[in-house]
Amino acid sequence: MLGIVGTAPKLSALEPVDVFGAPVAFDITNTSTLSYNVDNRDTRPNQVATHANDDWGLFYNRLNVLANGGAWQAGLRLDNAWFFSSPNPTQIALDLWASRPITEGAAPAPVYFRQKVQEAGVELSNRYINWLYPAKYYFTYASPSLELGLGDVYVAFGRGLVLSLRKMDELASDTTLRGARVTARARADQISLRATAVAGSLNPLRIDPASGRYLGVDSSVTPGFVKLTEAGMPRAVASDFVPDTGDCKTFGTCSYAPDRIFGAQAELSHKSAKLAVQGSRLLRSTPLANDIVRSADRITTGSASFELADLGGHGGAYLEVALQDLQHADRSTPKLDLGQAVYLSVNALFGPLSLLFEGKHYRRFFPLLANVSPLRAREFSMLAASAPPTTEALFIDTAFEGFNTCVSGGRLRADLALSRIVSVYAWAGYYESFAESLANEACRVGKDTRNRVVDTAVGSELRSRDRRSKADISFGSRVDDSDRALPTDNGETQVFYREIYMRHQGTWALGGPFALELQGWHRRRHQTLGGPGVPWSEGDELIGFDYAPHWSVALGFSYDTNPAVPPTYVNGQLGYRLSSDSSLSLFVGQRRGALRCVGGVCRVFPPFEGAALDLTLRF
Amino acid sequence: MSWAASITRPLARVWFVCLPCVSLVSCGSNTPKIPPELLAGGGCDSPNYPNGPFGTEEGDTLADACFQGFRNPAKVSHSSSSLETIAFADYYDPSGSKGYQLILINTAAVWCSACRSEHEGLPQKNQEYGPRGLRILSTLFQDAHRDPATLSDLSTWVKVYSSDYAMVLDPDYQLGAFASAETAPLNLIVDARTMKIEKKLLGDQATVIWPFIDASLAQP
Repeated sequence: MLGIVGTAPKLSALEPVDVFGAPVAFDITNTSTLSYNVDNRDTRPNQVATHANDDWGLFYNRLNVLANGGAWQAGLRLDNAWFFSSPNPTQIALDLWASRPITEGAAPAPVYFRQKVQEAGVELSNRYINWLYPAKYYFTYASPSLELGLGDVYVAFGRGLVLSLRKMDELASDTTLRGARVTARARADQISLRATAVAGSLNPLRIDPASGRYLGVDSSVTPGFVKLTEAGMPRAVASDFVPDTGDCKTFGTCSYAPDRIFGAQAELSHKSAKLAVQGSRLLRSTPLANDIVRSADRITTGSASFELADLGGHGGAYLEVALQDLQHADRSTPKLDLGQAVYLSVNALFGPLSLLFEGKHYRRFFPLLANVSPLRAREFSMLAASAPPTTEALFIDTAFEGFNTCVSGGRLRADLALSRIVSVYAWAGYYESFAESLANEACRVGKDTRNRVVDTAVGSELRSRDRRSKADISFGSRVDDSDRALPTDNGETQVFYREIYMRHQGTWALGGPFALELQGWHRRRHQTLGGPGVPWSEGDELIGFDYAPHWSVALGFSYDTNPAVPPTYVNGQLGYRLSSDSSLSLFVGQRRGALRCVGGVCRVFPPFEGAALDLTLRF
Repeated sequence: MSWAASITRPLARVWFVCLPCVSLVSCGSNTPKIPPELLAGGGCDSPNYPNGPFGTEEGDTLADACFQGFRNPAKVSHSSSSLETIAFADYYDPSGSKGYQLILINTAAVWCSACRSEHEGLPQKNQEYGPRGLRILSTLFQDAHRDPATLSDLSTWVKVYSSDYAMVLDPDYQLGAFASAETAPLNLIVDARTMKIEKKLLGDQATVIWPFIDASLAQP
């Protein structure tokens, strides 16, 4: 699957313009966000970061311009962040000092104050800084036999084991390869051949509007070709607290060193069968972190895949087998054995019953983590250039630590249509992970490293005959046990994690232009290592009311009995659709901080309290 | 032109005209006033410690810091009467007379699962590398609710994990300039002869930490 940044499905908003005798259609979309964050109630004693995310305001603008000349397209996304209010490091230290609890082992007040000023200064050195930069730009040419892309391109080979660079709106993530991509196609009778080659440097979005943090590079990590791809991008800046050392490894606001990535894929198709081989090589400049993946200077990943899209009208199957090699220049880092991954997906259709089985067997198989310093830009620490399939439900966020890097297991899902309006579904998954309850990068397999996980769910979908109303409700559980005894404050246990949950989503047409929407997720959780030490409940409920075609209003309520966070959150949202492509929306209130995952790609969203106004205009 | 476009386009013009206004709002500053008692001196007062400049990155010299804790929890009662002041300076060994070569400074919190799994294996590593010149100093900074760690938390921790290396309380989270609390555990590998930071790691990185320590201790 290949795509080009920002390709719009239709280009009729502006009248075509004559450029050198050829008509060129322009499509301009501008999205602006004006937000202000008040105290988000996550404040903890002596903790700078929980004060540094209060009382700041942002104007964040994204301008997309697309020119379409038929066979060719050109586009630009220009991002602009203006922080009109931000915290002050001295004030943070004073606030911490004023609310400091009296505890045993505390440092003298002047020492404490100096440390907190320094800590706040470092924390703020790469947050709340104004930037205007070309987030994405590209030029493409497409003909039946050749596609050429220059600039920012999306790439996904196979099922993401080798390379997966794509846009994920749910996580506000948009990572591309800035370089070149060539795809050539040939066809003879019923056999077709497609070959693709890509080369460039990894280009994630550089500003995280949820935290105000940005990714900065310096000249020590942008040699040669990367200097060109990083032109105009946010740079590391020195501050009173962070000197410019001239070396990204020790420059406290230099948080990103773009990886160079080369990849290729050859795909042979005959009717519904497809055979492909693909490979990628990731080359790092200065590694900015010392973990086993980010400290690797070179990561080579290759796979072969076979797909039967149609099994005689009764389903399809997909198999991919991959190998991965990590090379470290640092001699003290141990050489890991070759990583291996096998992924299998089979779906079968028997009338009203459909079955989907997904299985995986991974050993030392890591996502291609981007060269981000998690110390300096923790919000970006999960950035990766690949996404090995999890085989779990998309929303699952409870595969802890290195769960997916050393695991075997699978999940079977069955969907049964009982009638035109009622269907039921259920799934059961079983996994054995050897890198969840302890660090095990070498993937040592044994009872002392094993966690056994059973993940189950049942649900039902209802649809009205006119398809305007629908409801989906499901109940699920996750049982995660460690084979070895885990030491806790209350003795040893083999229980690693437990959860039961209920999810629901529904839309009811109320007649005329009115509709009601309801969605929620309610969970009861227990985590032995980490967590609050006791079982806790959390959940979100959103009720919305639509008055077509323009107005929508919603009320949200969340709760969390984890004593480390506030217990309740309330918010309201008001939307007005100016046209099918233009809208205005206002959010006011509180939003719970959470880890959000989509298909194993996760991102931590901090708690938000305040107001945000979004305006999207398409011309 | 549709009615929607007739609204959208003038609105867009107003929006773009207003953009510079937003940046003007950001102008202005306020300098907080610092009470005199916070400007006094104070610190560990360790006479024999390398001079600055100090820093928080690899290659920088580690600034001294003092904590209250147990130098060897396995040999003392876990009460306040056994608490003693432990400083980084205690591990500074420029001449090698104390037999210290490397210091592993580690942060831990009760809520942190990676910290817990890391501490499961630390006593064994201490037994293995202690005689070769490694000293481990771990700081417990928060409890299960992310509040400052107390003596009770420290006592429970050293009991649960049979800690036989220095475990101290750090309720102020003095190591905050090295890494944010939420990224725990932080591991600093420091050369005891110079107090320079050799390696700085986040998370339970056993595969990287111990081969590095093994290789470093093997050097003369």
